[in-house]
Amino acid sequence: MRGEEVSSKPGAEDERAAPTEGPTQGPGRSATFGGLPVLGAVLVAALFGQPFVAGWFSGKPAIETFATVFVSICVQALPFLVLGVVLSACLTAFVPASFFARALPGRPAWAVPVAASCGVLLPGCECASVPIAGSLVRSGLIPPAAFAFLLSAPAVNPIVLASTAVAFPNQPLMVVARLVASLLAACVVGWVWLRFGRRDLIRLPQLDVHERMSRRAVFREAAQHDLMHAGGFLVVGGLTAAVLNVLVPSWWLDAVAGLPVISVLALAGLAVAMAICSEADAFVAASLSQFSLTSRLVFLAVGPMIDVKLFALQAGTFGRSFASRFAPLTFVVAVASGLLVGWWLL
Amino acid sequence: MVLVGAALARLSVSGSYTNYVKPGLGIPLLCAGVAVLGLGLWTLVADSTRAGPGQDQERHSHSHSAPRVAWLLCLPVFALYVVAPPALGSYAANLDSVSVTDPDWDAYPPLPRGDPVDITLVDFTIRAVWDNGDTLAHRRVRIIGFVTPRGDGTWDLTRLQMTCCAADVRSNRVQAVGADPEPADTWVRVIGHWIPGGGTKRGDAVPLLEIESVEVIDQPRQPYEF
Repeated sequence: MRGEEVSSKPGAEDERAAPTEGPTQGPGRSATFGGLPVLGAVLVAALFGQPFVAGWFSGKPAIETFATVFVSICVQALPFLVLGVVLSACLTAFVPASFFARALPGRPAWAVPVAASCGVLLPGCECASVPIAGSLVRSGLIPPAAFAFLLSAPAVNPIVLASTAVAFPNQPLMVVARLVASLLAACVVGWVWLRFGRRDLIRLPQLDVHERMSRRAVFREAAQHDLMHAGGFLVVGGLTAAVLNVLVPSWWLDAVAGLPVISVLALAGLAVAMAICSEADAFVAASLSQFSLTSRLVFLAVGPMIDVKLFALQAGTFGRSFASRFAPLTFVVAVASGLLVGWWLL
Repeated sequence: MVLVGAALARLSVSGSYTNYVKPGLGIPLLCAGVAVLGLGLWTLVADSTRAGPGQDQERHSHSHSAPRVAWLLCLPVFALYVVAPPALGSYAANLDSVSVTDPDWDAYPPLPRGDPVDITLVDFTIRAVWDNGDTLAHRRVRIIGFVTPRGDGTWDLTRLQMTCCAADVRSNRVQAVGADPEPADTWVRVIGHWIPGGGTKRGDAVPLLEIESVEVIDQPRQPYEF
């Protein structure tokens, strides 16, 4: 008897059939990981502990706010992450590696800006671009081009540009500035990686793919694998962002707004800490009216490219050693690009 | 994974997702939930149909197991169903400093007919601060919001404005004059009219609202404004 299904328990306001999660094992398995009993224990604890936990949480508005922000970040990101995972699994399963060799310019230095420009094609949250970039690399696209795409897609797609136009109705140059700054930063990072990056730094977790697997099976395998990796790290990013969101006091922002250099760095840091979706950050930037336009441009340039949520996703998809180098590089380039374009255009 | 998918799907169907993200995300949420659910079930089925100890050996040697970090996905589901975090309220509003964005319209359209006329808090605030309340003068308005006590016995009528998800909310508030405060975070529908004195043409102005009547209501289906 396989006994993998836990009997469904009523309660916690829904009757979901408690499924298994974690490593699936063939018939006659021994519990190598013991995931199933853990899940069962968690569900039982949730069932009986719910009144206590809910009671402990209520009446503490800081914790409630934190919980709401955390859940909302995850809930908002998940549809886009799923979309990205599905698209990337399609890429891995159905697009041959030779496609990229033919479609992009032969010289890598030109492939980077072309890939960055392709970012306008992928509307949506930054969460979708990470798994897609991962599978692009897996499918044979040179990493610098894939990273340029990874950075530009969340920042220059039509939805984001449209929301920027709406949020800054009397500063149309802001839209142009955002577009230019983001493309510039994406290309520079791509070129820097082209020149200095090492392939061995990228550690894509290996897929369990065999020659004889059908395309559908490859799709399923890639999707499941990417989702598990990316999803877990998304939660890490969401937790961090929610903590920072609740902890950053507004009086601190008011205090730094007037100082020239600090204000730029403060907003850049805020963009990283708050992990706001790239479609919404224009409105948040518009509301930060005590800051200069250039500081806010830096905020808009940095946010979609690097923040705690993205860092976690990148670490999950490409490996921690990669992410810990890529993130600071992106941050510095994005700030510099924002400053440059802001000084030039605004 | 099946757990997450089911939770997502249920969330979108039940409609409580509006506590966390904008309503436009309902359909994608449902699709994503169904997709994840389907993928989870498909994986279960596919793995269970791989028969034979030979295959089993091979898979164990590949250490094909979900990464431990993936267990973290349980956390939001846990938070959602065990804790059931509420929509953001006065605490979040107080975290935000007062900032009314200038929409820079050339002309402010007059309010629709009606006495009192239903108006959103965002609309009221913008008109009061950036238009000197011209279009609000001599009109009775009806606004829905929640109570944020000020600590000195007075209170603000507040509403949170969201674009994408609860992490990017900004607060809008008007100071309520002439009515006693309800407990914090109580949702109310107030009828009143604008009175000058809250400051104008400044991003940090808080307009004044003279209250005629206060009615306690349930939290609206969409607690946030956009």
